Amino acid sequence: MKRFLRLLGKDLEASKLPILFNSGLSIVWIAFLRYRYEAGWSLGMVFILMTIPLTFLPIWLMWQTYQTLRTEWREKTTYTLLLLPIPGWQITLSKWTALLIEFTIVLAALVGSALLFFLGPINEYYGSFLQAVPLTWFLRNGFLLYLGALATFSSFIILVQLAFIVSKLVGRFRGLAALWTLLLATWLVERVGIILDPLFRWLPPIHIEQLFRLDVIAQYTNYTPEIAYHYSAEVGSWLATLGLFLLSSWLLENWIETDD
Amino acid sequence: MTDQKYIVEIAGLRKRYPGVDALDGIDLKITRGEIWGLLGPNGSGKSTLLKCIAGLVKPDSGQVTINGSKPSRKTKSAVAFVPEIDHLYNWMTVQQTLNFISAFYDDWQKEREQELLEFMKLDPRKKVSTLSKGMRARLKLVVGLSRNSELVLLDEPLSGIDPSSRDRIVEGIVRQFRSEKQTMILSTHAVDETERLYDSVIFLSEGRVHISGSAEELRIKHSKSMNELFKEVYA
Repeated sequence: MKRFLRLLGKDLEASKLPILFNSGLSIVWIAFLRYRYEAGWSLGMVFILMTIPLTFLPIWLMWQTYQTLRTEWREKTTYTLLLLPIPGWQITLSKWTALLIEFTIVLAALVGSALLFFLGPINEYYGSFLQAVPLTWFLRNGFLLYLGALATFSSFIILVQLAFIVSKLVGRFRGLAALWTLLLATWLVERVGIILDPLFRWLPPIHIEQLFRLDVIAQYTNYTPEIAYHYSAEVGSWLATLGLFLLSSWLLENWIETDD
Repeated sequence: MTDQKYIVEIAGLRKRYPGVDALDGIDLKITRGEIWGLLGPNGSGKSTLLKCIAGLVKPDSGQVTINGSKPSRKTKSAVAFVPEIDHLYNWMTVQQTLNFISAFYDDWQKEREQELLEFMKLDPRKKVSTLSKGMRARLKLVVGLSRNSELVLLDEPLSGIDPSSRDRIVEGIVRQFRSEKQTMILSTHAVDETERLYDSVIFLSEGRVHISGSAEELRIKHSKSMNELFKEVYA
């Protein structure tokens, strides 16, 4: 555990600048929107524009996943990493964890600054609604959405890590190899999900309206949907993703060379 | 069957890179408790051979064993490899580098680390990125020699170090070597400065072993110093 934490600390320290830059950019963007709101833009439009950084986050995360590994190779620090007497999964897991922490910090900066800068307008327009619905409802659902995002982005990170590592196994056309691996791995994860779907049908469905406690806001929406979410195919896909994570860790430990 | 006399055993080792045979059928047995000189000009395969032993490069054919085991996570605990290239994190300070790497090795000697830092005149607060090439070479040696590892592999340890400091570095290597517990393989083409270190030598040429054996026996047999023999072989 001590060794893993050392690796994680190193990966987080190395990502300090991207975290500061993206968090700062998010805060500046929200501050700019607040300024434009004061200048006459509608609150609805401002809220839509606020989500722009959210759409960039997955792309940034995939890019950052590739970059963290690429930097190790470019700066020859792979020698240090691959000489350590540790299993490959500790290296890939520490990078995976660091990236999810990065995502969490940037998301927190975005949401935090949005609440800070727009507390006044939100209170003005939605004050009665906010007073009627308990704060815990927002916190709970916000946390559930965050967990959902983490689960999705975790898979992205694993697939990109695999693509990068496989590209280092070939001597030429590494960019193409990475791209093809990413596409094939994505297809494989989906196919395995479909194939294994019948095996996990016994799992009880998740009732979305219960999970998110939609009854609390039913009186405001006049609509209480009943959505039973069957996730048997997703379980198969998660297992395939886990398998690909173990594969990339094994390749890193046993087949990757430092020489380019 | 593993022979306790030898720490490294290499048989039929081949490694090919596009357009060049880096290693072309190497057979070697490295005796325990000695300092071995791995000598040869640039491109003779010295670094590739050391990387194969360290487990950083996979051979195309043939076999390397360390204490009877193929290079793996297990053998990495017993091997300290100091590569020629700068492989340390630039954004770390000297002390952060040592703290980071030491966490992974049970055989790390904290007192020896401090002794070596002083001997190499390294400031622990300095960032790796601000160190000169020579100072980075010294730091790499501190990383490699602070451990009680069974096998120490030094790839061109004097590379980048100014000629006036080389004797001191060689002295540092000798001081830290524990012949009863350690074996060292030192690759270099600066033979004159390191000659006094070697118990045995390997002359590599175009990925093949040209000469190998006891340094003293070779000196007597050829009536030449290692440096003279090196010049003759690679003339």
